[in-house]
Amino acid sequence: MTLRLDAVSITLHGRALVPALSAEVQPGEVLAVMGPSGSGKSSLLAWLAGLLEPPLAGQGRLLLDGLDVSLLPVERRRIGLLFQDDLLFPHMSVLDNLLFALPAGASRAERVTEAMAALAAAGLDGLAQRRPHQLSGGQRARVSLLRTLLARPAAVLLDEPFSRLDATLRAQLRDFVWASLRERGVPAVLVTHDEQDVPPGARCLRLADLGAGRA
Amino acid sequence: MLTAPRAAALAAIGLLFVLPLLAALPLAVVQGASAAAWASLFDDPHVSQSLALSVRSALASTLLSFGLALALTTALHGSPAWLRLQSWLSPMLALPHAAFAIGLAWLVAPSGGLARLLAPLFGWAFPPDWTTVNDPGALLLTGVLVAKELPFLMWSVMALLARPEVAIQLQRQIAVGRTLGYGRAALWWRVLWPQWLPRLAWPLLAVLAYGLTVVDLALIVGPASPPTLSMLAYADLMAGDPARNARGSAAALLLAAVLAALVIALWMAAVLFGRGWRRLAVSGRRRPVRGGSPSLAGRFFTALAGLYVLVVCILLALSVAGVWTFPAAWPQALTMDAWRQVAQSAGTLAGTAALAAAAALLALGLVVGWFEAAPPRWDRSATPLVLAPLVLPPLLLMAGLYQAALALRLDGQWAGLLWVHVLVVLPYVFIALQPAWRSFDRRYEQAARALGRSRPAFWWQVKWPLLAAPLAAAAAVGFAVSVAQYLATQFIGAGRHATVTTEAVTLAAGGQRTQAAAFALLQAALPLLAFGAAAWLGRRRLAAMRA
Repeated sequence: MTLRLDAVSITLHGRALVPALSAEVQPGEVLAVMGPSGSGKSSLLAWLAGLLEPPLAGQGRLLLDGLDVSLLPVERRRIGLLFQDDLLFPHMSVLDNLLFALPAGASRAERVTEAMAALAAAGLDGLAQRRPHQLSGGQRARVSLLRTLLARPAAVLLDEPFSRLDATLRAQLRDFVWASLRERGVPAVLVTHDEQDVPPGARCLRLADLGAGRA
Repeated sequence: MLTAPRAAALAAIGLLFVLPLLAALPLAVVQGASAAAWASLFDDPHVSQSLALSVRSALASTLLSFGLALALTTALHGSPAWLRLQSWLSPMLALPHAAFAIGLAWLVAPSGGLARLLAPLFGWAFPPDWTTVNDPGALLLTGVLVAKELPFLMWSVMALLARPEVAIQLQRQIAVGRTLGYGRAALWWRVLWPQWLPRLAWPLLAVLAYGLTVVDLALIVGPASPPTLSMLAYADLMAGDPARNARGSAAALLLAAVLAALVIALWMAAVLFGRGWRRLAVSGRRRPVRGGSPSLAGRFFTALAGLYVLVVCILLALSVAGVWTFPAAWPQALTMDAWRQVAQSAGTLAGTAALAAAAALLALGLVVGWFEAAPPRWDRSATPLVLAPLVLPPLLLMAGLYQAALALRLDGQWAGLLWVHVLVVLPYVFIALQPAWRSFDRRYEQAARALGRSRPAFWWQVKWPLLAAPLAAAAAVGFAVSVAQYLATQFIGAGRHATVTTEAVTLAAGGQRTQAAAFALLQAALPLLAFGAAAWLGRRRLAAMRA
């Protein structure tokens, strides 16, 4: 899948917050959006996800493999979202959190096998029946990414997903996230204010630079 | 650290709230623990039928109102209609159960509003042969309970969802769930309700306990022959004969045992159902869940709110109706007789207001004392005790408290009445105030103290102004709960202290609908005034802060 932003802009109370920007993200590629607080980078991400609420508003088109999804409701866009917090459902086990994301279609046994394989690949074997509060911060973050990816998203949005982790965990998780996205060929948009979070070779949009032309 | 003021606050709560509760139950049990009382109870040929009526109306009204509360929340949460619903809840809660029942009973009575509306269509010259009020199947009682408990459950749901830690979590989980491909309704049923439902167990239990042992509503709209078991128990407990009192206590104990059995059965059903549900919830199916239509839910709630407005209009019309023969749509003559009687009972009105104000303020003082003296982590352990007056069968509790009042020579005394009203009001005040108080940022105090302000100065200059609105709202809730008390006033007041509620129920049960309607309006007006004053204070504080 290819993700394309076509003249996407964000306004706050009708005034420009993010001026029109266009970009294309290839499968497995990451587009990093950087900028200072208040520059509208999280609002841009919310618009891409379909979660932007008044008084903020967005214009432009979001295309997935040429198909305009900008008018579709959130749940039909097939765009995954990773927040700073893992937001795993606390009353469900790790396995149930993953099964919740896996689309229907296969038998329960096949779905469980797929979820267990994903856990094993992420080095999380043996944790399937644990509740989120029984995991470490790094483990929760990895389960959260697995949950997003198991929903088979056409694209993934990452809203400063590493900012709550300590330096060691941060480095480990970054490698895990970029490798997982590359392996599955999912285009991603990353919002961050930390240069170190941006994967090597990723394209970078700086909202402050983009905003220089604002009235 | 437990300082002297904190210890004093905790001691006051223990003495005025915990001790009476702990003493009341054994006293009620002792009174009912007589073989003769139980034998006499089971000799009554109506008992099994009365118990079945009580269980059926309580269970049906609880499950129906709870299901509706969940469905309305699922459909409306996050929409503009949710905010409108919030603004309607206070006036709906302010209308006491008895006042609502009096108005609704007239609406559906054979000679009531509905029949008068249909009379021209069907050519009725006389009231139809309906058994709508005091129907033997307790259907109207069940309907009134649903209509009155639904706003309470919605209020409980809103209070839960408005808690800061819940609100943030909820918003994010909805966002994540939607990006995983689930619609809002599907998310509520699959993930959110299973997560938050355990936190609604207390209000649900309160609704079930109230429905099972309700007396004032049963007097107005409940079945008469046989009546519900709570009515049988109430009649025995209020009789002058000690043997009948013991039988009444035995009946109250039986109701308490049935309540416990129902709770266990419901809990087991929830566990079994929950297992199957969890499997379904993670099946991966994204199809929309039916029953999540916001417009349908909005129309349903508007109809319910409209029914409340209609009931108030009916009470107004009834209170001034003189001659009003069937099938006339409007009274042929108007009279102010009922209001003249109300004017003569101005002392009752003033007494009700004074009692409610004192009970609300005392309960507020105790609750604030608890919040200031006890660390937040204690709330969880204290919750079962704080909510005990809400979830214990009122008949059993009142029978026990009456015994305690007798022992302390407080029966029939204003002080005794006030004390019992405080016991009943306190849980509501606690629930109403807890979210705001516990989410108050403690760093304000550190900042104020670092600036050289004393603790009392911080309280007066910072905390009180910031929390004035929730304090006023909690006091209004307490005031409304006190005004609506029937059992507590009848038992502990020992017939010497009338309130607008006891007057309204007595008049309605006696068939004096005009006077009953006037008192019912007063019963509704007092809480409405309190809620209005609280809202005004809240807006004033908000305006002052913005300025």
